[in-house]
Amino acid sequence: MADRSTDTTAKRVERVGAGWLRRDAERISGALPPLLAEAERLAASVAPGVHGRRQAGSGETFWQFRTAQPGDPHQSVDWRRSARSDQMYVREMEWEAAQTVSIWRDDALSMDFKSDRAARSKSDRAALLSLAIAVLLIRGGERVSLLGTDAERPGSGENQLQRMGAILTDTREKRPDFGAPPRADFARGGRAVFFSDFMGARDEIFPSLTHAAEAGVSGAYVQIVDRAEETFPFDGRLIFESMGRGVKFETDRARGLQKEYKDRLAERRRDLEQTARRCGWRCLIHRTDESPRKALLWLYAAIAGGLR
Amino acid sequence: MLSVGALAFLNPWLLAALAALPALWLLLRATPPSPARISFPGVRLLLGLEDPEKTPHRTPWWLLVLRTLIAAAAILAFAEPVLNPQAEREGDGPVVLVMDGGWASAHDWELRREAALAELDRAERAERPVSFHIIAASVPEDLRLELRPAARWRGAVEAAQPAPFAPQRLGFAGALGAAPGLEDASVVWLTDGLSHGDDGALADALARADGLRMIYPLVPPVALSAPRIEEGELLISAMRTPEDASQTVRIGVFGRGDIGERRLATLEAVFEGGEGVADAAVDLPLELRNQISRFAIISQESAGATALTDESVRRRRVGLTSGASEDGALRLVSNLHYLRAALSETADVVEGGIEDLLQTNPDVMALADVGRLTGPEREALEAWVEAGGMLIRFAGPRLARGADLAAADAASLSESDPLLPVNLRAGGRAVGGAMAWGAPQAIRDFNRESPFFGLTAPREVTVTRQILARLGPDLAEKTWAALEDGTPLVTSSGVGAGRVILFHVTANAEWSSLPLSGLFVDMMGRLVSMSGAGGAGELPDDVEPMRPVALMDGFGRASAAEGDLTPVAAARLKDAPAPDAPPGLYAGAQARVAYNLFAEPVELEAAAPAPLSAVVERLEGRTEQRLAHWLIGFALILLAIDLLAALWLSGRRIRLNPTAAALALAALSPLAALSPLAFAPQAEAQEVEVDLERALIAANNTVLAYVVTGDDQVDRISEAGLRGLSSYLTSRTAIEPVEPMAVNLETDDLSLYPMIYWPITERQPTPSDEASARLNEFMRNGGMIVLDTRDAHLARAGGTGPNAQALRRLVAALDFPPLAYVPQEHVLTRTFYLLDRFPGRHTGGRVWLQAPQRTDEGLDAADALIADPNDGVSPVIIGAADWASAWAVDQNGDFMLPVGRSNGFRQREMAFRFGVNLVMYALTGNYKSDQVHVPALLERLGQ
Repeated sequence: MADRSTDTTAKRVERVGAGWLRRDAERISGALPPLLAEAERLAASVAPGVHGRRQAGSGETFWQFRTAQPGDPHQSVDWRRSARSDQMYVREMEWEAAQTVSIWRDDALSMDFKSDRAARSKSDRAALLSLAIAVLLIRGGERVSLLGTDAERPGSGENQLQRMGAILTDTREKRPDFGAPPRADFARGGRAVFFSDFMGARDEIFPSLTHAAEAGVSGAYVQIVDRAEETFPFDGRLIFESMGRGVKFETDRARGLQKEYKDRLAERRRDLEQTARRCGWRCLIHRTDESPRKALLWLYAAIAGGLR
Repeated sequence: MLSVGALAFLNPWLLAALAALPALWLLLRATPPSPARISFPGVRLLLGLEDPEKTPHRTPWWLLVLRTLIAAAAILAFAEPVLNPQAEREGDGPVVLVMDGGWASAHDWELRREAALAELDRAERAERPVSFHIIAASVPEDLRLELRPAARWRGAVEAAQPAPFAPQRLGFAGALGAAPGLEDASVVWLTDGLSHGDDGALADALARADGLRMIYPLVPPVALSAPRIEEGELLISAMRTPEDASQTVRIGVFGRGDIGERRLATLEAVFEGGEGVADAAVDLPLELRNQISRFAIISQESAGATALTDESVRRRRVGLTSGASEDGALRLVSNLHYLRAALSETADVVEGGIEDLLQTNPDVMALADVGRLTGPEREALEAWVEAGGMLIRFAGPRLARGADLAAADAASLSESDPLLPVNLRAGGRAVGGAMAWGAPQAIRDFNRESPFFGLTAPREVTVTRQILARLGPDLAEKTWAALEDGTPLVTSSGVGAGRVILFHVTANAEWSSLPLSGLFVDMMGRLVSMSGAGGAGELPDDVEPMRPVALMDGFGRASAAEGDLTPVAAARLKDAPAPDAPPGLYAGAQARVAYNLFAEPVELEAAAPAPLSAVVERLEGRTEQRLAHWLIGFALILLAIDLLAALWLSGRRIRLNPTAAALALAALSPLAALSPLAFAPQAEAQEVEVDLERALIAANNTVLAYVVTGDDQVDRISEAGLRGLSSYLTSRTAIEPVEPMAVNLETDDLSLYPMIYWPITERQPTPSDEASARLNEFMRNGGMIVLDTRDAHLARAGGTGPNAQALRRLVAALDFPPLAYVPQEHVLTRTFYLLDRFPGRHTGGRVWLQAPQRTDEGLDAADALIADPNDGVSPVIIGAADWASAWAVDQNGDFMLPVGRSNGFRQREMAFRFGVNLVMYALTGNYKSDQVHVPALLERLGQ
């Protein structure tokens, strides 16, 4: 498996175009993971349309004057402004306190799946989206953490991005067949984004999701699926295996199962959406053959909108 | 060992495994290939689903067939099948090795000898004693098996030569059949496949032995009949055993000229399917035709395929002259009309004045009623008759008048005319006329001494007038034919080597009715066939002893007979040749007769079918062939297909990846070697490219070339030799050849090379007709071939070495000019160095080249150039000194082979000098020969 992922990395490098040589060199020197570069490029197409918090808070830029209320400390009164009238005014700065956004990218073996016609595996797409949203958020001054990894401590700035990029391109060992969101200590009031295919066992996934909601975070689930997982284009006598060979299923005529499979998939999605609605989360289904920009825009709107 | 037809299995018990194939079939059927495995993350969603329908799983039938085939091929392969198994000799009794060894064995004698040696080897291995018999020999009185260890026979077998007659089957059938001890022996008989009139007697006699193996030839022999003349055409017939296939045989016509034997023409006789006799007519100018000494089938050297000619097929030229003026209007009373009619069938007739006729060198001159001869005419005629001409004169009024005058002279001089056999009486005699006494006279029967003996004179042929001979003591013996009353009709006397004959009547019907009769034609025919040197080609009396002059050996080569051969009676020569009278040329007192194997064209008769108990094999045709590796290869290919099919069935598609494809190809290449055809077009395309490159190099540089013989060692030496010569040339002369090139006669363009070195090996394949044609073209257009038989050290003193026969075979179809030894002072001896001998690795051995042409004064320069486009350069040089070995250097420039005694420095230097002269000769043409004459020219200018 490790081989395959480095293989795809190499291919990706090639696919980027004329600048591959420089990027490749940088990749080797560790300065700029190609994933980060790609994520930045993707983020760059989104960033210009998004603006600041528009909310008073702690910060350095002036936001507005308001009449002082009982309980406001002296220090906050803007005497120069107050001197021009009878009232006391308080000078408010724009809120600039950083939010924490926790990102979980499922790196289970099932995410490595890539059907014949797909250009990239689900895992690749998840990593790309993770990093792209991280770039956007960090540019916006937020703190981002990558759950279940070394970058679990929220951080900001280029360093955090670099660290995340390195982690996302790396593959860890002993990955499970299917992944479930970790039960981490979420920062209360924070945000979270879960990238996964949510194909694992029900009783592993849904309690975790509820746990996150109970921890007081809100956010979005992004179910990343391959085209083959939606259409089930199989026929004949087949043995289906999970990516890690842990689960097996044998059939004599795969096509006969297509409808039932689709039903089950739809049911799983319905459950996901229900859970999301109940917890105040949002849910996106993203197919690897769709443009990642679409998903990124949606995500940014969902996360940043919630932050506003 | 189990054998089925030509197939045998060395491990037949393994074939029992074939019985297990049905079980394998069932087993394979019950275990279908495993289903495809697919990694699919959505598998959890599938858990617990039920298949809507169940279908039983079977292996696809084609996969079953494929796998069963693989198993069958493997089983067959391990049973070690052998095609044409050489059955191991059973038993350990003695082996009797019988060879036909007659003329019909000559054309593939080498194969036979090898087969016989192989049999000896086998017998030696089994330690069985051998008795060896060649049955083309006289039958011994009391034949016994001569059992000796096989090794002791080796010399005899190696030295054995085919005999020029048919094997004495009937005689040996009795002798061998009665030989004691044959019952315990196993017999191996190398037969020639022809009947030779024995009707299977020998095979039946040999079948009495403990086992008979008959080895038939691969190529049936073809024979030639004696040439004959039919309707004025010289015909020769090729004969074979009738077969369905049509066949073309090329017959070489050889003639003996001033410089030895050379080929005059090549005929083609075409056997249609089913025919056993094919005729070919010789269409040559008379001079050439009369030079013909033998016919031989090209590429079949045997006594049967060679026909010697004698006088009987020589067509004579007869000159006719009449004393009377010839008038077209009076044809039937013309003096020459009946002569013309009588002779046109048997001879070439020319007419004209006496001196003109003598210029055409006739065999016979017929003078019809010529009375007076002028002085020069008489001198010329006398000289011609003395030299062997036959003069036939006819009487008539003018001769009678001449006789009157001569009688008057004779009275005084008492000297007879040498151009008349008898002295004539003045005045003629008329019988049966109105004024005469008696009736017209008929012709008396010819007596034994007369050449006309055997012809019958019809009674109605009568003579009314004749000219009379003067009585003399020798008149009776000079008379060849007489009338009833005893007066001579034809008289004759010898003059020098020639003969003068006088018909005492006219050549027209005026004096007698003889010219009107068939007798006249026969008489003229006999006379004409008597003419020329040596006498008639017809057999004389039965008892006359005939002495062999030249005898043929089994390969059809005639050589002068040894002195101690006993003459045979002429009657014996009417039967087929046998040990007591081998074919060849025989001479009696007068006759000189060619005695050929086949006097008449008859189909050759194939041998009677072999006895049922006999094992029948063919020469070389039955080499053992192991089939196991083919079967294993076949099974491997099927296995590869099966692998692909299994992969495909289990859903693993094979993506074509260039590296993987290359690897797969590399892995498959051993298989590809099994089917060489698959890659042939590519290889050919490549070859064309290489050819172009080669041609460019050869055209832009001087390149010495050698013929690829197929013998690696020889080819290597040729190349090294020419390389050595090239570097020597570069260092000593202005000629700077590049690396020598190998030339394949069948495929390569020869025109690019000035000189081609051709070492002769015995195993070399004979060039095809196209290759020979191209070689001829090469020689005609100024190319030079250097043939080297490389066997001077093996040659007997003054003779030829063992490769000479191979040389003869290889160049049979080439158009060589007359050859001669290199004369003293030849240009070749002084083109660069002055040489007087031409050593190579061996010394001795003579060098042949085109015989120098006599310079005709009449020929001017332009004509000479047309006559000899090669610019005075011999197109062929033949030697035996193995020059290439003397020249050969390896990559480091060291000599590869020792030369001569001690260090051979001098000899090698001379060999190199010869090489330089050779190349100079080939390249500079007659420029050098002009240089040779420079001193003479200067001297002449000085005068």
